[in-house]
Amino acid sequence: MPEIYIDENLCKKCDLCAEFCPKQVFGKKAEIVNTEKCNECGNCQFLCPERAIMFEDANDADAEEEKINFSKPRGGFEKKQIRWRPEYALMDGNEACGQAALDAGCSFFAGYPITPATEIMYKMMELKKRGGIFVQMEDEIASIHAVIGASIAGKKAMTATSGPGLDLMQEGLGLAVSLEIPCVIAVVQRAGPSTGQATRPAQADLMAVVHGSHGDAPRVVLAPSNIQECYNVTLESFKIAEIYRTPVILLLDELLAHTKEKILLPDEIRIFNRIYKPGENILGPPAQKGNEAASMPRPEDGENFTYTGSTHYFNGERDTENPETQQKLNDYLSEKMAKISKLPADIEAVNLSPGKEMVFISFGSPSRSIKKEVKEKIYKNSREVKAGLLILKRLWPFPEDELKKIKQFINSAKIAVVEMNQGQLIQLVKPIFPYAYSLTQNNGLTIEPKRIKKYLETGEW
Amino acid sequence: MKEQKWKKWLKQKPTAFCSGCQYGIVLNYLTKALDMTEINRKNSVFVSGIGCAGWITDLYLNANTAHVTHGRPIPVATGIKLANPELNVIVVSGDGDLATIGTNHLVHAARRDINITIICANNFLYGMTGGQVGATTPQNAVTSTTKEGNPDQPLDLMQLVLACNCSFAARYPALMLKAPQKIPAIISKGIKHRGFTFIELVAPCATHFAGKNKILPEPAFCFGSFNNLSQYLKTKGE
Repeated sequence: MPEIYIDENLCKKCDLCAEFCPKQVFGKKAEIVNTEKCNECGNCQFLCPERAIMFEDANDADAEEEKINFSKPRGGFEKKQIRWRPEYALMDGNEACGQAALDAGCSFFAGYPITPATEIMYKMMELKKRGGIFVQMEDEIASIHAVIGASIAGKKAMTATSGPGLDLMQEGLGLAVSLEIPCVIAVVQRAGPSTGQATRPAQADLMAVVHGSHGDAPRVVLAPSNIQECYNVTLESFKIAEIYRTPVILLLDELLAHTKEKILLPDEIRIFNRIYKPGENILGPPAQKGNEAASMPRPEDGENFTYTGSTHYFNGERDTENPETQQKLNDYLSEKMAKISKLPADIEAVNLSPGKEMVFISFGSPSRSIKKEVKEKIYKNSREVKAGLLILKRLWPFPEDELKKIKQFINSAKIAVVEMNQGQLIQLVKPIFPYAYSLTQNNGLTIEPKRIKKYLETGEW
Repeated sequence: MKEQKWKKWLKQKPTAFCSGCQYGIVLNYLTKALDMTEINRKNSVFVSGIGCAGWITDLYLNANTAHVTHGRPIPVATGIKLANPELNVIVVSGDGDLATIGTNHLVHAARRDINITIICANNFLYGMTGGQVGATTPQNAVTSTTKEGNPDQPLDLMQLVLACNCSFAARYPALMLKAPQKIPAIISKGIKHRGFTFIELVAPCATHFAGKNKILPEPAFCFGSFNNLSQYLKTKGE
């Protein structure tokens, strides 16, 4: 006859034991009434939801403790030689983006076909030959979540989409921010809203990539403005994603995606592999100086990690009751962005010098048209118009400090923000240049140089 | 008494589940099944979604766990499995998560025959938000959003995954009064199975479903089709 007892701390008096015990050992309210009838069938060990029913000698097995063998620490910067390829190549923006991802060591791509981002997918199909994983998922929600899964398993991962797909990816983006998942999302903008014009360029997804997803979910947004930059910025985006453990969005537009240019392919690049240090917190501030983010273990490292999209402690454990934890988590995510905002924002100044009467601010493909015109001599009322241009490459965290520094030199200039939407970048620029005004075109066509020229000559947009 | 080696998989704390909730039983089955297989903590990842069932692994299992957004544990599991095929990836989530908001992913994972194990704890409704009707709620059942009885037919998950050519599918009641040992054996078989595995454990919500509805005879309904489940259903107020 066994010794049965019920752990009062665990028992919830659900009366299931009275129902399932074939020998009626238990009565109502988890009373043990007939110990002598017990035939040790063991059903209660399966069927008590709280595991409250104990046998006397059952706890002995708890004594044996598992040995924890963590993996060795790894990660950091690495020089990578890329041989056997021509120095120059003719590529469009999508291809350059894919090429850079492959060079950066991206080994997982999950995507869903969407114009005009599909060519990134085609390029990433090379992963199949290189021992990486390429998978076409059932939708963009699945794509971003597969990317998150692959990143948890230890791969550098990316996906690519356009506006309608970005909408679906917002929930995954929030999860990636919360769990500090390094990943890269290329967003090739097309004209909207809704289905819009699939084959035409626009820049109307800016606010969606900067502020989209509920809760405060800060992320990094980088925007190349020519094909060489598509390559360089993609390399940079993987570096930022892995160093700081954050999702990075590459903001292209249809024109960049499908414009072919000659680009230089470096034969040696510096890449970063995520840091793993045994026994450290998997989230939150880095435990060691010199690192920018917490250690990120793989499942096989023996860390027993817990990731949860709910509010959590920095060891990963869920805690949704404590106001302090919630505040700490959000503060840390903001701090991380503050750290990234200290990085050089790489603002390209074209023809900029003190005494300019007019300075354009732009990003992406319209900046190319403006660049052409500000370099030329344009006359208004037979007087030369002195115009300059600032091309923004990092849109979030917004390079406020650097723009403020530049502002000291161009204090007398009029500021015009040129973009292919109804006025989104202007909202980011206004806090620094309150007198800035907006020049927009949102007809699915790119802003041509002649329109910029006409504006400079006549002052009419 | 037998050794309780499976206890190493448990975080020893009282659960947050309601009194009478059978999700604790699902946890028992899972831990016992893990003990029957070659799985250790280094070669396994447990993914769960939102809802009461999402807590089974996230809060109470001592292993690598990821608790992700509502309806998306299957894509995350797919990503993990593809990225590292040596891992045993096990999804434990509820019917609302896997088969209502996430049906799309369930169908496609089954179609791809991806080598993951899915354990669906089916409580017939949305328990955590207060017992609203879901895709698996039996016809005529009373829930907090169908006070006059659910007008719609339930989704029979067995038929669904079998239609997708799923290579391993099983359904059992969580409260398996006779021979509960069978279920851990089935789960461990499912984990070893190379291909998509779907195991549904029916555990009607004690708080929101069992109070208003009764399905009789209890284990029998699990083995037939869910399309005529309403004939076994007794609702209060009838």
